[in-house]
Amino acid sequence: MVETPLAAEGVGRRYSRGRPWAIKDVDLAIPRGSITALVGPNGAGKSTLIRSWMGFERPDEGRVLVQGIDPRRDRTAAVSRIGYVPQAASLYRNLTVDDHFRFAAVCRPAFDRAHALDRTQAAGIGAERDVGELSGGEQAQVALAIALGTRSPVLLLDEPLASLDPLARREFLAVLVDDVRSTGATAILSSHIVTDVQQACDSLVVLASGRVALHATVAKARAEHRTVLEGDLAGRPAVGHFIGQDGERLALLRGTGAGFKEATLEEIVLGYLSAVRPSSAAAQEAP
Amino acid sequence: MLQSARLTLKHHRFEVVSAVVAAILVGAAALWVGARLAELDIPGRCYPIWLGSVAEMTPECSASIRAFQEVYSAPAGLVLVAMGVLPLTVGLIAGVSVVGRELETRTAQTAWALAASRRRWFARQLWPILVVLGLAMAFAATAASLLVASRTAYYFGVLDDIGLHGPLALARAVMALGLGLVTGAALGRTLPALIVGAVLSFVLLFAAGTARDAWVQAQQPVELEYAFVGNPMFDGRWVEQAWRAPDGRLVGEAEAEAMALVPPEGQADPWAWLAENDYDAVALGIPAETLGYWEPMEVGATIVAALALVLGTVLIVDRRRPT
Repeated sequence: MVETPLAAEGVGRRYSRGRPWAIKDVDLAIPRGSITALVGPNGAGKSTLIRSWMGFERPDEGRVLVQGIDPRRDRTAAVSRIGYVPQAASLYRNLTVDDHFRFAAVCRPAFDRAHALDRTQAAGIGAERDVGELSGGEQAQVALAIALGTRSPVLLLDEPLASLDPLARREFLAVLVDDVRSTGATAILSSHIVTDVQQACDSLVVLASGRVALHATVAKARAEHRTVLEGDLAGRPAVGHFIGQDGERLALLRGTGAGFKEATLEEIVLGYLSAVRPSSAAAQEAP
Repeated sequence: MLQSARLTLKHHRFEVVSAVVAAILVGAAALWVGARLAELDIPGRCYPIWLGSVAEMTPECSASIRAFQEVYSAPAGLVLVAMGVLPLTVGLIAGVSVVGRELETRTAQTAWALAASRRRWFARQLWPILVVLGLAMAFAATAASLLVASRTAYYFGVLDDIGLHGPLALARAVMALGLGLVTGAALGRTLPALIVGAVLSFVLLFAAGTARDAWVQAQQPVELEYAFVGNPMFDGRWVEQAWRAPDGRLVGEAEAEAMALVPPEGQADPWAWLAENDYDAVALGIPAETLGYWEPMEVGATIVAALALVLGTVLIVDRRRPT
């Protein structure tokens, strides 16, 4: 039987008693070879979920699995299957780019240093440069090269684009897509802005208030959602309500109603996120 | 393995270079001051004069003793003060950086994501630092021992400079390294870990001093012998004055005083009564040989404490969330 690369089964994590759950009742099965966008606002639980797969967090409820391995039971086996890019490129400022690759090779004997060097050279980053001298975008490329150099079947990227300019984002995603498509790895890419990652992803998970609001392929999500001006709802049940790009009040509908505009990924995410916001719910109930 | 060591030392180069430079400077200073003391070869006949048992000071003795004391007090004292601080400072700074700084700068996320086994990562980080630090401190501690040997050639102060030289200084550096490791791993911040580690170091040193005093007090005092002929210092630590009675029985200070203060009528000097009645004054104390047993015990206990701290760090590293 082929194991699901990444799974979450009823996962809940709360950092301390009395505080709200960071994630709760999260059930996910990420298909092999996919690039999944894990989208949600700040505090939605994206990092908590990714860090649980990394074995950095211990779920209080349920379990996460990496190729069928629970990191709580065998962290060594689970982590050795993952290439990870943390939220902020957490590199050693006083080491060179190549030192990082050598360090990775010490930690992971299967690390493909030549591949990592190729990736950074293609990005115009010299191997002998100190990481402390690199820009944020270059550091992100180095972090990605390290993750890709592990040749891991699973890649977890925790908001790697947050500090990058638009050009650097595109370059970063291009490298990621190119590599994942050629190796057949499975990747999860978290972001709080869906437009950042939509060029790369074929699957979408919307995380809101620690719960999975939507999990679907990008194609299916777009096919199954429509947007409509609030005034044209005519009593149809909406997934959520949000302000459109031109300031108009829009509603997200689930279904394929004729005459309605196919929703963009951004609109789908906004619709689901608005559904769990208390202010939004109140607005919907108001006369 | 060497690649790993090279990267570790490069990453921690500030701490490692600072530690090595400090240890070499203090060690070199100890050797230099020790050599100067050894050069000032005080003639044997001057020891009793110097130590106060013979009143007449000759010009020759006066000059050589003054020259010795000039070196003995300030430069040698300064070196030994530095040796008191060096093991703790070097050990703490190096120890805190190994895990604490990784957590603070968030590089632990990268390291622990790459290293499937955090224990192996920790071992790879620790051993090069331990080896370099150990060698540097061993040089400084040995040099300080040579200084102490030159400085105390004329009296036996077995526990006087304890911890400022030799194996105990080295063991203290390792213990401080352990404290730095565990506080850094637990707190995940460099400065708070250094402060807490420094406080804990002083608590442990105080505890060691208290234990040492208690151990010395628990030893049965025996009659001490003079260090060597002509030297009024005793070979050990003096505890109290006593008298040996004509029948061979030892009479303690309180008992002797009671006898002496009720002398026969007409006795001018009550203490003289003891001498006139064949009571020989003797010194009771702990012999240097017995005192010498303490240092290996403290070295052993310090190493055990250091190992416990390293094991504690392993447990924290294994379970901790990288920030």
